[in-house]
Amino acid sequence: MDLTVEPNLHSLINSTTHKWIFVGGKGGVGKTTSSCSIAIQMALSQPNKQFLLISTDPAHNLSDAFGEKFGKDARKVSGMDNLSCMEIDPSAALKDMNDMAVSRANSSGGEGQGDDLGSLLQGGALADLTGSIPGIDEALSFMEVMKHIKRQEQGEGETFDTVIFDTAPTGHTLRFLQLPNTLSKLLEKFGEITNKLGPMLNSFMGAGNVDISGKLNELKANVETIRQQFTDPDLTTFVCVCISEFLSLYETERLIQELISYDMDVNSIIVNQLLFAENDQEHNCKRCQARWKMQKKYLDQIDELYEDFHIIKMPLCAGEIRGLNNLTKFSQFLKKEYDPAANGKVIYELEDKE
Amino acid sequence: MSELTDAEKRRLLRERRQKKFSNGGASSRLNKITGQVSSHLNTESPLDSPSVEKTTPVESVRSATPISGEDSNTAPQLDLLKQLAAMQGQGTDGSSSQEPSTPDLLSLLNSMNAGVPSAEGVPSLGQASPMASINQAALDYHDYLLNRLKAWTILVKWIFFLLPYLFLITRPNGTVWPSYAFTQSSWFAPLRNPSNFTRVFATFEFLSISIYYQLLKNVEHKSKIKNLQDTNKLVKLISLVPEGMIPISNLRGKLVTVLQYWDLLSMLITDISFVLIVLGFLMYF
Repeated sequence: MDLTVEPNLHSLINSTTHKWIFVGGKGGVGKTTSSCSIAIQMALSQPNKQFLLISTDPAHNLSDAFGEKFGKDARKVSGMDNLSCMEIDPSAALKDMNDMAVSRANSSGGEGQGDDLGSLLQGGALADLTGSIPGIDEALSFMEVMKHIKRQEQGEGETFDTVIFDTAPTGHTLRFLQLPNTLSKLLEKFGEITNKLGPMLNSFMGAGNVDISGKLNELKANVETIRQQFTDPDLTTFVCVCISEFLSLYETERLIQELISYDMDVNSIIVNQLLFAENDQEHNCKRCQARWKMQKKYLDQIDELYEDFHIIKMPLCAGEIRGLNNLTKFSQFLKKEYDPAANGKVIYELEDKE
Repeated sequence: MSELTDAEKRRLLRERRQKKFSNGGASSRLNKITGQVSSHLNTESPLDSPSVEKTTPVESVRSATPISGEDSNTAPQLDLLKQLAAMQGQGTDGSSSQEPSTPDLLSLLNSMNAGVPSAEGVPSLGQASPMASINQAALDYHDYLLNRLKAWTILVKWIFFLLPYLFLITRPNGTVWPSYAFTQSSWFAPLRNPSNFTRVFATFEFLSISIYYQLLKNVEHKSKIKNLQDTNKLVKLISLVPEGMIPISNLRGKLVTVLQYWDLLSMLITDISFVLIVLGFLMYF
């Protein structure tokens, strides 16, 4: 064995240790296609394990990618026994929270106070209020992770061996990944305050029997568990997706630097939409040749900058990569690198999903 | 050091990746990307801000690398220095804080040890040394690959060529050789002529050394460490001498060239010694 890095995701696809795999990058570079491809290949390579693909992008694409509707609860992909998908829907989750708050307010007694609160929340005031908070999507995704960890610890419901995140464009994702650190610091500060004011706060909240410091400690422990897992390279990794263009390369580099500053492991970059036009003499097109020349210039820079990374070069296909069959065909090049001479036909073989 | 396991390889690559982003490398990478298209995008890296530098990535890398023997040796010394620095602070005004503009001894030593510029902007000596950026485990792995290559080269050269050749020129009429080897038209004939020894030996050395250097390139590619440039102690020492102090430009490069020629010469001398010893034995028996 040597220190050269394979230009494919073979090791990740066959990895038995990874619990969290994030797939992210600039908007429009093919994050959803890449995350679906990774999930499919992992599910195919490890049939005895269960995989979950979660979209944390507020503008969900998973349903469109697979051509079937997914919701806020995990649902198996048709045709695959060990791959489930879910789309975290902030508005639906907030509506649930609102309804819970309404029922709690109504059941808290027949006093006038409870009725007033119930009627206030009846129109979805809580959902409207919290829905406008910046970063609520990331917070809800984070809650989903916490729920998942809890379920696994308690052995409740359906558990998954690996969760793959189809993330939102870079900014959202970085906020999401920052949450464990931010929350950890926030809870620490809050803990200091509650330690000082604890008895007073507990006496205020005494009527509802809420143990604030107990709840805080529990939350802090959960957040710390997530923080530790996210920074463990055997458990968590981030796969960057980009296209061979200046802005995408620049944003990828910034993303990688941010991830390293969070102590997160990042070792793979998928470069999508490559033309490989020099092997495409039969469809010789001036524009393709010129664009391929431009792509090659950035590819050379990518190869030089990321020599210790897995660089996976994926072709631009003739059709849309939608539906399980097309995704499976396309995803094979994550496991074994695309060879334009040998695999050139595949890019014209995608089924039309019209 | 032996062959790397999957986990070791992943760890080494991770450390190598992290190191490329340290020592101000993160900003220079962004500069490189934006410079190519004359972009005005921000090239300030989150990794180069002092608050981040303290926690990542060099310190985390170093803590994850207990292989290096120097770490365990220097740790008690650093602890001692830390205590001394604390005592020094208490002795002056009762507090351990110092003026932000004055780099303290401990931070300077720490930055030298880690190979990063100190937070106060004082260039660290560690930066001058290319060795600082190369992990000890990777060096060990390189040494292992290099030694294995040398061993195989000697084995193949000596056992499969030099020994049979010397046997051929000293025992030209032996029964072990195929009969066609002794016909005048055979391509084998000039080989067994002792007067051609120098020509044959020189050709063989030229070919074997060329192949050796080609394989050495493969080893360098595998371990991603340049032999001599990154491994030799003398080169490491010379690279600490600031440019301009000695009136020879690119002293390090010249030294590497000299060492490469010495390496080549030593291989030739080893082979000649082997030939002389074997010839002595063959002539005696």
